[in-house]
Amino acid sequence: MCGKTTSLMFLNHQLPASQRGRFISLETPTERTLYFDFLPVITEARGYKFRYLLFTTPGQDYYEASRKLVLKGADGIVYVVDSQKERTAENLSSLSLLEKNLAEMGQRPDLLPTVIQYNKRDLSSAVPLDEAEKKYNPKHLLSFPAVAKTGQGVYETFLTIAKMALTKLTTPDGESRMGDMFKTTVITGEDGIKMRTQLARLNEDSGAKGSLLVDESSSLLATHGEIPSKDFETLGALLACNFTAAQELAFHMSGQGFTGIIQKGARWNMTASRVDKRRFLVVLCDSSVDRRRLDNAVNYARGTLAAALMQIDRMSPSRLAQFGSVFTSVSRIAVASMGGV
Amino acid sequence: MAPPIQAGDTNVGFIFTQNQRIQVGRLLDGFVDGLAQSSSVLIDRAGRIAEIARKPVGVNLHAVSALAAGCFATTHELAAAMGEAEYSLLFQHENEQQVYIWPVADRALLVVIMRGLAGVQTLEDRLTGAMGTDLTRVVMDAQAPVKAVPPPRVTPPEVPVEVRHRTRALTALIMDLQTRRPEDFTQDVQSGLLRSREQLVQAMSKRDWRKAWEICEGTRQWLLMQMKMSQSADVGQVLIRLYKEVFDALHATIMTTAAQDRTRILYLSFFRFLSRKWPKFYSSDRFLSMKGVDVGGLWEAGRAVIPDSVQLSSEFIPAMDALVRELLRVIYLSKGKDGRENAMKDSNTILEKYNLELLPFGLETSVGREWTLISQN
Repeated sequence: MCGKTTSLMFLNHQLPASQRGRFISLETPTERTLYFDFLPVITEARGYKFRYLLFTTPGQDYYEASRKLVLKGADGIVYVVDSQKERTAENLSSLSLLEKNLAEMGQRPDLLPTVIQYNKRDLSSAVPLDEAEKKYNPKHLLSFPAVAKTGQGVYETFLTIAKMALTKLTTPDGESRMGDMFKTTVITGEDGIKMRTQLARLNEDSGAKGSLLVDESSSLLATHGEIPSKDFETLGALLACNFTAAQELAFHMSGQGFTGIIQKGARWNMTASRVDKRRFLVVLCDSSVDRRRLDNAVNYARGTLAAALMQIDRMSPSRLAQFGSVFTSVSRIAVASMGGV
Repeated sequence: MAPPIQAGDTNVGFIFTQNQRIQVGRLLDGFVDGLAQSSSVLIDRAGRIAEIARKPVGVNLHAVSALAAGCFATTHELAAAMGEAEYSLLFQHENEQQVYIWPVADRALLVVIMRGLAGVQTLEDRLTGAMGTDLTRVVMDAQAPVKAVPPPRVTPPEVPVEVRHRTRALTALIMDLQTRRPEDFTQDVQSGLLRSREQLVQAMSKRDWRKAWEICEGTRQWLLMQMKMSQSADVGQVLIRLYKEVFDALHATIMTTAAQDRTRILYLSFFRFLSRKWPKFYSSDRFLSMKGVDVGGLWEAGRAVIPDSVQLSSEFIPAMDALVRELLRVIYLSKGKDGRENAMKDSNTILEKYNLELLPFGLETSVGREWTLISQN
């Protein structure tokens, strides 16, 4: 209860509707984060659209497995500290757990943009700031005092981590030293058309209503056909988190991945299957679709999409280098142009 | 009746009586009866285990339950996004192991683990049949733990507009300097900023707006000093350059149609009109001559009355915008609508160029049809 969800709620409360998507909170009946809270923030600057997908992680030890999934592929981390003296042990424990979780995923914490938010600074039991810095910030990361419930310091923290994450993209060795999960995919308009064509063929071959290609870092790479929701930011995040949780569950059960997830609804059935290490394919169909025909079409599409994505991955570093100077020049304006707070 | 007991894990979202617990145990056994290598677990929506039938060996059931609940929570949201009431979930594993998650009465989830696809239909029949109805009823009848209603989480205070502008301007200045001069953000500067942020948070928590305003201004000046930036590198210098470019362009357009004498008379009439409303700036007609507009002179005239450049800029901008509107009106009269549109287009290009420089001061240009182009954030 250090204020992660409240910080996100404040941003949701204060940002104009044009600059944010739908706030989703997956919490337990006692208002503890169950899996994550999610808020997409959208900015536009100099013809470029920036989407920041903000997630909170569950704080309780019980949900450690879920927390690791949310951390997977993060471009930046805000570590929220409860400033109250009596919370010192919990803070230190979750800080070491965070480092452990990142290490388990092959992530180097020193390469991941991180800031600290000292929350609950308005309480009389808050430890003095100098003391907090000594305890929680030996690496001298950027830190911000805050009161999440009234919003003080929250926006500043967000601006800083957003800027750091965006700037990371332009650091040549910053990204390349991270694992595959942290690499950026740069998709051109031509790539988009190619992938949509393959999805169209999949729909035609299988009799599916619609299909989506999703990245585990919550991006919808391509869609085709009838997709009931037009809120693609939210859809991408939900599908990615759903998929990664299911996969993790499979690993806990048998140490192996799964071949597919089937979700059955009254009107739609949704099946998800892996395309490569970072992406998966979701197909929407009704219950009348022939299962064997669907499986064959999905298998064929997985192969062709994997080949296309491999080529895109190969091209991405050089494409990213071309964008490097553009990102640097717009990073200031993108984060500073978010009005309303 | 037996006293209620909390089964399985602690903090489960419902509490079974001893009888209910026996009944649930029997039902969980029944669901997987005859299914190969199977087990079933009833968890609440927060992923806490309530009951287990045939505990699987070598599986961390707590992690599995937490993940299943997380997975189902996203499924629930997905269903809402797709216009479905609810989804049930089936995972297929490489080694033919199946995991089936079925929602029970908005309060619980039934997780069934089994081997092979053959049992799926049997299980679905059981879940949708009498056994499923019985389980739903027992879970619905279970007592809910006492839940306190928490206060609203977010209560943003009504921050006075001057303080809001000032805090935003300070944030923008820090962000801008961090990008342009990262090497100057030494450990000492970072520590100083952290201390002043803490003071600001404390002042705003106590709703001491005056103190908050003073902290912002003090921090701004301290930061500029640390960066060895002279105070002249302030908002005034940016505004002077911006308006000089705008006025020069408009003046050049006017000069193509009006004779010098006519231009002199025009500027004199502008001065008479504007000096009534903004005497601080339009204090002398020498600032508006047939050579054009002396923007630096107008700024300095205002500065003699208001030394604080940020405060001065809030009055300077509307005073300059009024002159821009007058010049555009003359261009419209002499060159028509197209002439005016072209002149505005040129001015807008200049404005866009200065956007980045103005942001650190909490100002933003917006290119629109009307000339109210610089606004305070």
